[in-house]
Amino acid sequence: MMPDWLEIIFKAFWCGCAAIGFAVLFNTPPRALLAIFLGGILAGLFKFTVLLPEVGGGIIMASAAAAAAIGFASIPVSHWRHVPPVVISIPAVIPLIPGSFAYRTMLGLISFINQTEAEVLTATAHNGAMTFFIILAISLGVTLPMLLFRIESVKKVNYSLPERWKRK
Amino acid sequence: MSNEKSDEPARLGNLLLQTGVALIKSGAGSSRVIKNLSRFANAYGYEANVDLATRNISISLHKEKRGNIFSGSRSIASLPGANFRVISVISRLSWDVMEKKISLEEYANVINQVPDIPTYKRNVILFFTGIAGSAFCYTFGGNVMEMVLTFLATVIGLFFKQELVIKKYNPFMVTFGSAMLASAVIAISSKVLGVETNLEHAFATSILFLIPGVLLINSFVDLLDGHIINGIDRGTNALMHAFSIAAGLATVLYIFKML
Repeated sequence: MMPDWLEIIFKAFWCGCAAIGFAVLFNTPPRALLAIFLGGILAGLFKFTVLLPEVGGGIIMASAAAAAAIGFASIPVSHWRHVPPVVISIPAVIPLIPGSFAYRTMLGLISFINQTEAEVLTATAHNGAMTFFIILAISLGVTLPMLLFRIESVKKVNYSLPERWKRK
Repeated sequence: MSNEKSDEPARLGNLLLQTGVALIKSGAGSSRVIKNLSRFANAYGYEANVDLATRNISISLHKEKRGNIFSGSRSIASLPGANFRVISVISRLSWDVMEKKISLEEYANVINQVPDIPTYKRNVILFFTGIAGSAFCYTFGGNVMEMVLTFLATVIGLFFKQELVIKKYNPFMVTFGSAMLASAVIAISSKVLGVETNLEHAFATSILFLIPGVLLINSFVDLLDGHIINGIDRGTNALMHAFSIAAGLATVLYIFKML
C-alpha cells in the first residue's frame, strides 16, 4: 500500500502527461509544452490534496481549487513563454474534466432503453449534475483571475507588491 | 499616395475579417476574438464593432465622429476545432501592431501565412494522445493492463478519426465512428481475455480523446462573459459530440451484448 503523498505525486505526474498529450492534440506551440506539463502536475497536486479525507473537500471544490491555481499560475507563465494564458491553461485543466461522471451519465441515459427503475434515474441525474457542476467549477476557476483583476489583458498584471507597500 | 490612404479602411477591414475567421476556427473564446480585433483596429486609429457567432462574423469600422467607413462579413465553412499555435501567433501579432506600429503590409504577410502554420507530425500526435489516454486511465484507478489497452484503443481511434477528417465527413459522424472503433478495441480484447477481466476503466477512458474539452470550457467562459448565445451554441455543439460518443459506445455494447 502506497502512502497517500506518494500516490498523489504519481497521480499528479500522470495528470501532467494527460495535459501534454492534449496540448499536442491542440497543436500548442512547442515552447509552451514544458509549462503545460508543470501546469498539469500542479492541477493534479491541488485536486488530489483537496480530495484527501483529512482535507475533506469534495470533487467540485477540488476541481475549482486546481483550476484556480492554474488560472493564477498561467499569468506569469504566459509572460515567460510569450503565449496567451489560455494556451497554457486550457490543456492544463483538461485532466480535471470529469470523464468518469460524463461516461456514467451517458451509460445511464442509454440504460433507460430497457430499465425503468427509479434508482437508474436518480443515479443518472446525480452523475449528470456532477458533470455539469465540475465543468462549471473548472471554467470559473480558470477565469477567476480575469474576473478578480477586472483587466483587459494579462500584460498589465504582475504579482509584485504595490509601490506604496514596498520598503523605501 | 492619396489613393492608398483612402482604401486603408477596406484593406484593414478585410484583414480583420480574415483574422477573426482564423481565431474562431482555432477555438478562441468570443471575448478573446473581440479583444484581439479591437486591439488591431485601435492600433490603426479605428474602432471596430464585431458581431460574431460560431459560423459567421461581421465587422464594421468607425473613425472617431465620422460615420461607418467599412462593413463586411464572412461565413465560416467548418465548425471550430482547436489550434493553439494560430491563437498565439495572432495574439503576438496584435501586440506587435500595438507596440511597434507595424504596417498593414507586414500585418497582411503574417495573416496570409496562418494557413501554413505547421502542426505536429502525425505519429507524434498519436503517441502523445495515447499517453494522455493511459494517463487518464491511471487517475481513474485503472491497472497496467487497462492502461496499455487504453493506449492502443486511443491510437487506433484517433488514427481513424484523422482519416475521416481528411475525407471531410460530418464532424459528429467522425466522433461517432471513432468512439465505436475505440470502444470496439476494448470490447474485443475483453472477449479475448475472458469474462472475468473487468475493463470498466478502459472503456471509460478509451473514448476520452473525443471529449470536446475546448468547446466545453469555452462554452462556460462565454456564458460567464455574457456571450449567452455563443455559449449556448458551443455548449450544444459539445453536447452533440457527447451524444455521438454515447451512441458509438452504445452500439458496441449492444453488438457485444454487454449492455
